Amino acid sequence: MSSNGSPSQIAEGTEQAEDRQKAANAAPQLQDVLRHTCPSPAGPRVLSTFRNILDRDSCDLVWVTKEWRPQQVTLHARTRTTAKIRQDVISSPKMQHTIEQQLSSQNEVPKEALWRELNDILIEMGHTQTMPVVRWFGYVLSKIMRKIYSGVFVNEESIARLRASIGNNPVIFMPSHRSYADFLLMSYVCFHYNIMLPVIAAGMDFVSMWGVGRLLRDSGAFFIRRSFGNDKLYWAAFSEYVQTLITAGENPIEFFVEGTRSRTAKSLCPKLGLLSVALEPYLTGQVSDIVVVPINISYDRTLEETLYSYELLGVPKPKESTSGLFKALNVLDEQYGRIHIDFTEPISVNKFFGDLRSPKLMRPLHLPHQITPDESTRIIWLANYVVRQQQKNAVISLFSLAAVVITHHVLTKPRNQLLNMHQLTRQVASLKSAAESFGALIDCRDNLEVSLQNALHIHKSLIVTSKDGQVQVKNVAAAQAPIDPAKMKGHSLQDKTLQVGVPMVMLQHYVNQTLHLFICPAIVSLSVQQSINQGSGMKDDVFARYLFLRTLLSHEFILHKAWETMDFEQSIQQLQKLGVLDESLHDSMKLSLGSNSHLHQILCQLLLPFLAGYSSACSTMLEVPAGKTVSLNEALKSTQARLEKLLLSAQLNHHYSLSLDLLTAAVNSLSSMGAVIKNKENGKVLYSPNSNRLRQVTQIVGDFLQLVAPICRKSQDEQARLFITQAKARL
Amino acid sequence: MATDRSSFLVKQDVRLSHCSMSAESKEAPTNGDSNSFVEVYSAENNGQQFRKAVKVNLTPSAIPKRRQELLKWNGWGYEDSKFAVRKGVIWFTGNRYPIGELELPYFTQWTKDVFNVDLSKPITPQPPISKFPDPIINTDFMAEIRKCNLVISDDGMDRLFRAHGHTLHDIYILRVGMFARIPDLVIWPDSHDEVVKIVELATKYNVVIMPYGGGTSVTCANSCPEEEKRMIVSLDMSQMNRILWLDRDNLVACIEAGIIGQDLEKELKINGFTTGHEPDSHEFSSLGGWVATRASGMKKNVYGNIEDLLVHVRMVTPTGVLEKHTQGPRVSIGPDFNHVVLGSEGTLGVITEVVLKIRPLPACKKYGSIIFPDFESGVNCMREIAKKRCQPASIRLVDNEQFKFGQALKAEPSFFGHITDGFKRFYVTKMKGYNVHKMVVATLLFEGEQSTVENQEKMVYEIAHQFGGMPAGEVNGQRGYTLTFVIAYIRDLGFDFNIVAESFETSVPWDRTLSLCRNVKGRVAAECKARGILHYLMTCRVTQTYDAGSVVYFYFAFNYGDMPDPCHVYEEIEEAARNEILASGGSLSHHHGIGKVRKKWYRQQVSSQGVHLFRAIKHKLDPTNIFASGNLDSGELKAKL
Repeated sequence: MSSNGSPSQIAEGTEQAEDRQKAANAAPQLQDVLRHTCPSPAGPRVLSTFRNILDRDSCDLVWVTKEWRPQQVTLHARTRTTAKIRQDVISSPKMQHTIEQQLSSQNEVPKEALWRELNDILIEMGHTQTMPVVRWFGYVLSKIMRKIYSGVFVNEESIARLRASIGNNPVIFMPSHRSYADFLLMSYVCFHYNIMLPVIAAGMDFVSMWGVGRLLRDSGAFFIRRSFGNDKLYWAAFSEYVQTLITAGENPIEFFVEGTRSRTAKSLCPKLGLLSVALEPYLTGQVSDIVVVPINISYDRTLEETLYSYELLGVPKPKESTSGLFKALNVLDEQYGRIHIDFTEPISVNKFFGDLRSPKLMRPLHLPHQITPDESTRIIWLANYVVRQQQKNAVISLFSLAAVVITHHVLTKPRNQLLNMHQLTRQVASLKSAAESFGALIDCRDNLEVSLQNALHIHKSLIVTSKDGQVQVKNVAAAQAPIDPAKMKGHSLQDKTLQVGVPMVMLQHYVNQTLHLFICPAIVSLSVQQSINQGSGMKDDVFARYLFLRTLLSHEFILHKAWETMDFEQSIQQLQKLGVLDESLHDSMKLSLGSNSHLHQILCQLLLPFLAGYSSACSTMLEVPAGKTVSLNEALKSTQARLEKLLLSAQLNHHYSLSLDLLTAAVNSLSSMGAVIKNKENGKVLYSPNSNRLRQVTQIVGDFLQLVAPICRKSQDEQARLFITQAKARL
Repeated sequence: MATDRSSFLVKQDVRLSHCSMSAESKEAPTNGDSNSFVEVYSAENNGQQFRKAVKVNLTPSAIPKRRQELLKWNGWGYEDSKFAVRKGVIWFTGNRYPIGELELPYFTQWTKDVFNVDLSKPITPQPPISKFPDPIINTDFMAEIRKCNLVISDDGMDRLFRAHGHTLHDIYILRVGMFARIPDLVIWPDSHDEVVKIVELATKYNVVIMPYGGGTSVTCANSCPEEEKRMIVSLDMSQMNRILWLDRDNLVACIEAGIIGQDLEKELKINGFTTGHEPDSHEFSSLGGWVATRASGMKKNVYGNIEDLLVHVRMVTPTGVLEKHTQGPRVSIGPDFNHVVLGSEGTLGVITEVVLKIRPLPACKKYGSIIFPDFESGVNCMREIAKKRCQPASIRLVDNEQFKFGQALKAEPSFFGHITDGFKRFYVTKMKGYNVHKMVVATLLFEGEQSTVENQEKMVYEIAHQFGGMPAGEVNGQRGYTLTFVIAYIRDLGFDFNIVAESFETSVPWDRTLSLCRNVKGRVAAECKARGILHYLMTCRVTQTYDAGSVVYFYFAFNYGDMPDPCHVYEEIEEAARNEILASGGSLSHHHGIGKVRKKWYRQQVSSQGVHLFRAIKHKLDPTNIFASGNLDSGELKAKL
């Protein structure tokens, strides 16, 4: 252990420690609130309440032309035309004030120009939901989905629960975001269940796609620019647009709290901007409550899986274009398995916030609401809680568990020892029961063997089972056209790195689908092991190590501070039940490893790519000379280069460490731990090392990495031989 | 100090009484000459001022000392007036009100539709109570009081009658149980000087005084604190109901605080004047009560609220009489201590005499009504009218539920013909496209000179037109106002059929009026749903307009089925509704006051410094807490200041 201080001290600057204290103080309160808000469901979730909505009595044509009498969101709702909504925004006190009082006088811009600009912004933004388009689109979607999916399963119990809780207050749908398909699915499901169709906040990228922008607009999407920094007019227009949708309560509003599609299949840390804007009518007393419905959409196989792999490794993302979309239509030849959709317990914001709105001298509505620290704390909680609810209500595919087993095998077993179907089934079975004890609902409808084979079949482009039962990973990147190094977003990786990297990152995509279950137990397991190795094993020593890792990985996983004690205790209990920790010990303050060393090993191994990536990021930043700064991009590039060297020299064997997403999280994490300093110069963000602190962190991360470094090291070339090559890879 | 007015006053029946007063002891009959003016010199205010006219009203109060002989002991209003069920149809008894002796078939149906009541199964309240808590008697005080030649009573019913107001909780208790604490003695003082004497004695012997005016509080302000161990004297002000003088030149009148609204207006009308102060309770509520609760009248747009009408006030406190020694129409003399008296809710002293502004009776009085397609356009129209400051004396906008309720209270079909599809209904709903389940109505009352009224009418209807409003006739407007007094009787009918009902109010800035109405209705709906309440009525009206905002009045009633403690359930829901009101930008009260039911929010409305200030005043005026009604301030000084 580093002599420079305990891991928990290193983990936090004083500021963070204070934050943690605050969160800890408030935590019991939140627990009360949550108990109140979310009565524990009647029983464990079961697959039998999920119904395939593609499997319906009426034919698609009858279905899309059914009489449209949706359940209303609020009683007072009045249907407004697009023009009326625009008019309401323009005539709102806030816009009047922004333009008449603020912008035109400050910037000496003529008012007329501003009003024209506002009108243009609103036209660019506005949705134009029209039922004929929705119906027509629904018809086409039905056909496509029938072709590529074996079912869209919706938890009908959750639909009943949803129905019961809408009617009085504005509703916000917050689905998880893994694929473009999310946009369409939600509306499709609402249409099926006669729930008012959501109006969806979408990124501006779609607008430029010919036809698609219009189509999405007509289906109810409105478009927000990705970044509008200090554009006060745009900000005012955007927030007023969202708020008029909330207060009018005609449609549910849908947005992705993660901000963008998660390329990694892990939940992204929630973004607070849009959520804060949407909650403002509640905070300012314009509506009495808002119902937030976190929604999980679980895909057996993600449409964009290959694309994401390249993207994470730094191969540029093609600009969204319609022709690109058509090219992507070759996805239609593939099978993508099932989709599971679960509307989780609706959250009453008023109850969640403990009726935070204090009767105070209220500011007039045209002035922007200043979010108080207390409100801000709750919004952060809510956002994290929403994401956790999404995670908790996932349906985990057997393939994800298989991916964990296969990855573990590839990393730890000698190259001549291939994984066979029998071993795989056995290991998946034991992992399944572990996952279930962590609260997972696993999509296993038949007996495990059949279900597993079906699951593997869906992913036959990545995993093949030979006739003699050997399980192998396909090299999907084999025939990739040469990539122009200039276009690489990160370090220009060698071809052979990509050949192993792309399939490994793709495989990790499915491993990641399970990580929300395993992350806390994994961190605890590793902390226990290290603590014992250091001769302690006392619970508080373990907790200190756990805190360090948790803080380190807080940009990677949803590990809100308020839950750190709860998560710790729960993980220990679960691990003891599973035999990873010994539960026979009498001393309740001491922890020790149990007999299930295999699961312990798998859990710890899950942290490998993250610790390896973070460790390299630390080293890279340490090399920045004192007084010099680097941009994020530079830091990413040199870290990737460093990692590639390690991979080539067999000092490292997990290619997911190369993920730009992971390395970005690493830099952000180091920055919030105070190990690197973030500076803004001329609008550019630059980083410089905080040497002492960074050295401490590097040391501790290195110590942890030592423990999870694979038992059996293989060079990249050796690893490649575990793969079978594929003649044509698709991108 | 006071003039020798006894010579031209009807001699009050003064006697000491331990037992109840007999029927013969009621007021002496009037001599019929209620119009006599006598020129006198007044010694009041140090004898400096010359009074032009002193008027004494010789009519006795409409309310007798033994109130239970005229008024219900366990419900609202006159004993002979109530909603009753005859052969399955609701009708209204007596002929004091316009709907008296009429059958109400639509209303009957409405109660079934809205509340799912079964009119064949009434619940009977307990019979008149005969067993009362033993009075706590301070013998020294009693001995002195007996020497003072005052009208007093320790009769149980007299004491019980003054132990409550008309809060839901109060009436519910009267129907099913008994208060833990009621006054120990009732005293009817006859003059300011008698009040001074009584307060002196109470202070000397540490006896609690609770002033009692009309007893129409809806905030539990009349309730005796249960934990009070001292003797509690209820000071029934009803006999101090004289107009001491009336000044035609300056348009002011000096009036004793015990006078009730209808007596005051009757007397002034004989002389061609009005105060124009007309709260909905004005049949029964008293002048002193108005001042003590910062009351508001329906016609405040023309005449002003009580604080605008009040020129001078005398309040007897344990440490002396608080009053200003000037009657200037407006003064710049430090903080205005009239405002210490206004809204003090009996916590600082007894209000005995008030000088009020009066106005000549209006030449023209005209009703009107406007229908709007929905509540939102109605509110927008009200805002515009307020902006242009052309409000008539009263303008009220009722929501759709209340609109339908008003229609249901008709004895036979008329303008909107509740059942029949008459031409007018056809015209309104089909030709004009109004939706019967969305439309709302504003009722108007114009008062003033003929030409003023005409101008105002023109402006109001023009503005209404811009907001999609359509004039709907005088009759509908008039009905709206005359029904006001009848509505208070409905709660007693509800009690008989498992329904509890209450009203509450707030004032709110204009831009939040609409969202407040929505939010509070939504919150109440959610609270009902959470409690499994299926049949309820939650309705509101915008009942006053100001430059900066409006006043919203809510009625909430529900069928409680077989809940064991419906009153508590009601209180929980009202508390949630009040939290919603405050969070939606509304105030704690517009005119009902704080009493005991809204105490918990007092601090957050007036700030901790405000509470300190109130306590400092209380401490100086009433150091031994003689006026221990416990209204306004909860007395708990929390650590987090």
